[in-house]
Amino acid sequence: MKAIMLAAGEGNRMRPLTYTRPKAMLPVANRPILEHLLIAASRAGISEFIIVTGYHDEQVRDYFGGGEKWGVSIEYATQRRQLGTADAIRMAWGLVDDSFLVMNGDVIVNQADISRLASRDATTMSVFRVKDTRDLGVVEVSADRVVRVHEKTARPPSSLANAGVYLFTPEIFDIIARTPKSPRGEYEITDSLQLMLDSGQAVAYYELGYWLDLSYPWDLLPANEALLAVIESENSGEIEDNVVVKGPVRIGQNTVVRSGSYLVGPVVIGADCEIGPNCYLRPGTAIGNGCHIGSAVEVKNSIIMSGSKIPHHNYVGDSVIGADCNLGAGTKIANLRLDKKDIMVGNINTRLRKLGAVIGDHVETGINVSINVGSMIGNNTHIGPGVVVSGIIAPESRLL
Amino acid sequence: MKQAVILAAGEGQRLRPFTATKPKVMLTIADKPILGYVIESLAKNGIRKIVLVVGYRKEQVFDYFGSGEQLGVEITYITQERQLGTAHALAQAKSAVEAEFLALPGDNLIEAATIARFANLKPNAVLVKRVDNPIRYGVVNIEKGTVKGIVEKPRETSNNVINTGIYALTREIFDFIEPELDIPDVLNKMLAQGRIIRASETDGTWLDIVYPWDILNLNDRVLRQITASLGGTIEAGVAVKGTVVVGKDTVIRSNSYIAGPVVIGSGCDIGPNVCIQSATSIGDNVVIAPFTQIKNSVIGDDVNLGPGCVIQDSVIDKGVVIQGNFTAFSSQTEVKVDDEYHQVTVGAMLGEGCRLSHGVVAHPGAIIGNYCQIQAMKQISGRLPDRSLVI
Amino acid sequence: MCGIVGYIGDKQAQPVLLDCLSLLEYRGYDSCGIAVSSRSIEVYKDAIRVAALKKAAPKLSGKIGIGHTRWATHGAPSQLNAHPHLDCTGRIAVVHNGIINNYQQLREQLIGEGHSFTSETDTEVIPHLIEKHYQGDIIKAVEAALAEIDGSYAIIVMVAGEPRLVAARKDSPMVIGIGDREKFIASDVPAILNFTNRVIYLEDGDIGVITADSVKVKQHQAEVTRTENKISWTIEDAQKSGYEHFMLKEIHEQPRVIRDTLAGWMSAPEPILDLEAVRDNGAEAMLMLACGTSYHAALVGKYIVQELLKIPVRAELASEFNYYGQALAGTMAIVLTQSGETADTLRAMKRLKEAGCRVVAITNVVGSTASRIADQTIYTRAGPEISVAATKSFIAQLMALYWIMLSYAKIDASRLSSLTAELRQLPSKVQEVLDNQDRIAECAKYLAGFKDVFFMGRGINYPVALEGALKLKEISYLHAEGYAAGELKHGPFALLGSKTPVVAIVAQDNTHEPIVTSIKEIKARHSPVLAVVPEGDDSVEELADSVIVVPQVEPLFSPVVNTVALQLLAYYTALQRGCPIDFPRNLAKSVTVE
Repeated sequence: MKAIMLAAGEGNRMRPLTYTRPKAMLPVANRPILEHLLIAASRAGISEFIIVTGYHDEQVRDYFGGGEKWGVSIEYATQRRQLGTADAIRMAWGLVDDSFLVMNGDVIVNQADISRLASRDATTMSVFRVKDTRDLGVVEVSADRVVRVHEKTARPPSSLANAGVYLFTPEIFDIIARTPKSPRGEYEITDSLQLMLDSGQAVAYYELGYWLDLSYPWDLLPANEALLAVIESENSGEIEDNVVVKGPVRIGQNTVVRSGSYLVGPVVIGADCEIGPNCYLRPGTAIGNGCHIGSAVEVKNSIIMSGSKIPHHNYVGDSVIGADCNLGAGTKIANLRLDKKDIMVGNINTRLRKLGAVIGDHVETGINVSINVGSMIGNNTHIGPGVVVSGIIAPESRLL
Repeated sequence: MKQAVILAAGEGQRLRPFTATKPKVMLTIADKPILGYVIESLAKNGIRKIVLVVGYRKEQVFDYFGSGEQLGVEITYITQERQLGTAHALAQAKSAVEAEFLALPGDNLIEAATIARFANLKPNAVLVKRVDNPIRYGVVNIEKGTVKGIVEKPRETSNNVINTGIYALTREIFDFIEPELDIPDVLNKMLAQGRIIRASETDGTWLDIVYPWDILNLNDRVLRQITASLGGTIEAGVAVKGTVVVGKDTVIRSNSYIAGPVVIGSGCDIGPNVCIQSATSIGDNVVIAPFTQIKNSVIGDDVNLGPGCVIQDSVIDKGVVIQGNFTAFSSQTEVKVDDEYHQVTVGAMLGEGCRLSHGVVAHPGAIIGNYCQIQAMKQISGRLPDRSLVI
Repeated sequence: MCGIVGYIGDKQAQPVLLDCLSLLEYRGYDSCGIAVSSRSIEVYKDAIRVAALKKAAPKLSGKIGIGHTRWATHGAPSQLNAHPHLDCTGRIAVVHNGIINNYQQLREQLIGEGHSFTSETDTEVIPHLIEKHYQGDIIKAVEAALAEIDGSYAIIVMVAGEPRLVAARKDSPMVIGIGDREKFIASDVPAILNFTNRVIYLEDGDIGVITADSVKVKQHQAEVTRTENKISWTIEDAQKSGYEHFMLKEIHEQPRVIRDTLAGWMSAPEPILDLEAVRDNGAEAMLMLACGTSYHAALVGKYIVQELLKIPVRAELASEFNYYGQALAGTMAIVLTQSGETADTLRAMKRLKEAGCRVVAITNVVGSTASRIADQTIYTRAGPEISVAATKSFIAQLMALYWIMLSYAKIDASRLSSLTAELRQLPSKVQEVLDNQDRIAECAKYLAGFKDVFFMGRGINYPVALEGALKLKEISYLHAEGYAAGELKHGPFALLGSKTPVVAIVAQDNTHEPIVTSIKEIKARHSPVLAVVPEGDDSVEELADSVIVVPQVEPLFSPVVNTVALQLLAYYTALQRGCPIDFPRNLAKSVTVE
């Protein structure tokens, strides 16, 4: 069985992180979301993949190539304009001739669920029971059939969210061809499914045991935590004397962890990093390749993307930091409001009590910059010494 | 409903000087024309096929909206050569409309929620609203949810339900238009011939803009809903409080104080030591020199404000150059428009391209026409026609 | 001079080719054609526009094809002269953009060897040469054929039954588009942007062998790698959005273009060029080089440099410079080309580089050939320009020149700050000119009744007179000439009379008096005078028959408002005369032949 993975979208709500990469390439536990999905699917026995790319497609192609590294074969189809999920699937028309899986490239599911879904023989959509259906499409079911597919709605008729993972037969391409544009001006696969239901065709559903949906940048942090929870220790780098390592910690090639560092897993560190001396890495931290975490730096529950430097006297908690950033000595990120209320980012209530900052690529800060909770800093922004940053900062800004 | 016809051809005589060089729908609020807010509200309700009936200075509409890609809609333009009335404007769009469509004015501030329910109603229907001052509008008489008649600008009325000018229609209306010129007249004719028109009431935002100072009311309303975002270069020692938007490539220099809600466009050069207070919108490519204070005002593109100006409750249109020490202070005053007197609290209204030398004082309610030139130390009150020279 | 396109992949070639060709029409549109290969090659071509060909052409079946849209150089527009051209066997088809200098000699030689020709074009020698050298290996045959050719070319060769296309370029532009299981070849990127945004630029002397799945490039028979580029812009801008013509749309975009340029200036306040070197080198200081409308921008640039930098500067036509111009090491050359592909300009740039000059290009197209030759490139922020008559790209070039020169101005600080403040007002001033279009349209109605029009200006507005005349002649087909006002008495006076109107640009600088005098002299010869006058200047009100009032600006910036007024004058004159404004006869958007 083949699997089509949809990785063409930008994911507006993930800006500024998606200005320079497609949503499916956002790193969680040091791997793109799409790779987690690919690994889960290949463990479930799927060996042939079609990745539909679009926005920044070269990154997907460069990273996954022909799939040799994972022992699978990958073909690509390009969706030139972002005209919705149904249109994306249509790009793979002619590349599949049997029933096949379709997976949104920006969700996280596990191997067991994929195996079970793959063993179905008729059109099936997977669903996941959620507490909060805000920002999600929901599915109304009766017995083992789907009755109705709803877009995001204020009064959801069920708590089953559409998980964005499907089993289709090639007939779906005929239905896609008949699918009209949605009010958003796109061709949605949910409309195709509704079209099937309207014409009396059966659509089954499968309830996933595990599912993570990533809509906003801060959703990456719980996903990161969940995926780090299952790692095992591995050291491909060098650990100097007098380093304390507790819990599972993975260290990549050519990475050096210098004396006096205190690492509490789960923590994952990429290749070619310089860690310490005398830094404190706390659970839930993922550090990409070529990063530098220097002395007297504390990092917890955060994603630090490749090439970023956090070299002296910094605190980074519950934050996402893009690639190639440099925090000046003493730059610190707050992660808890004094009144302990939910943290707002712009006008959005994150419903989180702890959240630091979301920082795009190539952001540089001067010494002793203070970054307030819930700050969102655009790419290529420069922040001068001693500045207090709050709120949303557009890309290419200068705060002096 | 998938399609909307927006009437965007009008000039808006009573809004002069601000409409002498642009159509009414292109009046800019918080760095965006009113028509932009209307189209966004439609798009949010899934209405993405837009027919724009344009006329007066239509090029400015073309320049800003293009084919609609920016807003995610498809725009078809229809030209109304002479602005004869709303029904006449609608009739021009006959060839472009589908079986059912929404018709609405492009110069009212309408929020997405205001039309959310209405957009799903079956035609024919009129969106109505209760207001305090109904005699400015068309009053709608309703019985059991259906319209019995629309009375334009009644002398007196006990009914405060008015017509918002937003209609859900079918192509059938085209059979009734000739020889009427305005949509309410056409609807009354349809009622007389036994057609049923439903009324749907909204309590959402619907703001009309009739007089120049209405721009300030709309500005205030729009600025309450913005999301803060800082861009450009913000130098050390700038205080930013409340909700503030600063556009790309703008520089805010040291010791400036900005208390939101404030929107500043792109490519501006502001400060040092400038004070901008709520609720103020500033356009693109604006220069504001030191020690100038602006409060509750709207400043257009390309404006250059010299040092030491005090500007309150005022509207300054694009391309105005003020050399310095200009004062436009606000208080309650009587302003005459079309032989009617209006009690308002307002500063000055300056048309585009005016050039003011040093030390000009504008009295509350002063309306200065486009391209006026005013020499140093002059005091201005009342209304100055376009291209006046004050020496 | 033409647009070429090729396709190989898993789709039917014909619709793809026609789609691409319609986007290449700005390069030429007097005839067009396509050839599609399956086991044999089928050709359909005619002296018609692409839209007409789309309707007229029968369905040609095949997934490999080439196409061409032509701007005649050798041989009139006709069905026979249209591309693609075939060899004697009908198995080799070629499309070509460029000029073959030795085609006469090759043609005679090939006829002598028994080849028979069907067209008058230079191109047709190519398929016959390939046929002559073909011994089973098409790549070797193309290499051998090209070795005999002297000239410029971008060609695509297709052989019946072969699952590949061969492309080669020298001094003419060409890109290869990369799709999944399909490849595209075209003269420029926008033509294929509907299908892919991954492209490979071929360099001069490259021969590319393109199959559905691969692109192999050879240079001097050795395989080379050409990196894939990703194009980030879209083609959505290229729509008329309400306007009747692209030209009017683009004229109206100018306030925005100016504002964008100014905003870019705000975010990059550091000087962008190293002009220090020029200041130290007094003798041969600065050279401005361009063709057509860009040359007029260069002439304005000359005045700007003299006024602000006070260093020696000359402006030259690239086409002339290529024959007689001297390139001296140490000169800073500023080269202006909207498309970045103008053949004369590119050739001049290469000469300047060889002579050791520092070359700065001002162009509107990112990644264009000019930007790849230049030491440094400054991109104008005009956006895509579709209309053949350049408007907003000219204004954007002027803005770039003001920007560069004000950064280095050797003038006192208070004048500099007042100039900078004035510059910021330009978007509104230009909008004022646009808002006055009804009045300008009236003047155009009057002008449309004549056959010959003179434009005159002085000083920094002399190039504006040239530009005004160029705009008028290229779109309205009226005979128009631009003159420096002082030169009218040296000849043109003989032509003046009641049937030769003169458009006079009145500036408020030291040329004001002499211009008024010239107008008096012209009136004495009974010529109608249409004066473009700054607001508040009533000195010619009595003299001129008609007046277009433009807003008052600093004289240094007056070319901006005056040009916009003359653009509108040309537009409305052409409209009045019923001319096809966006696609004037015999003209093409970017001239990639010398």
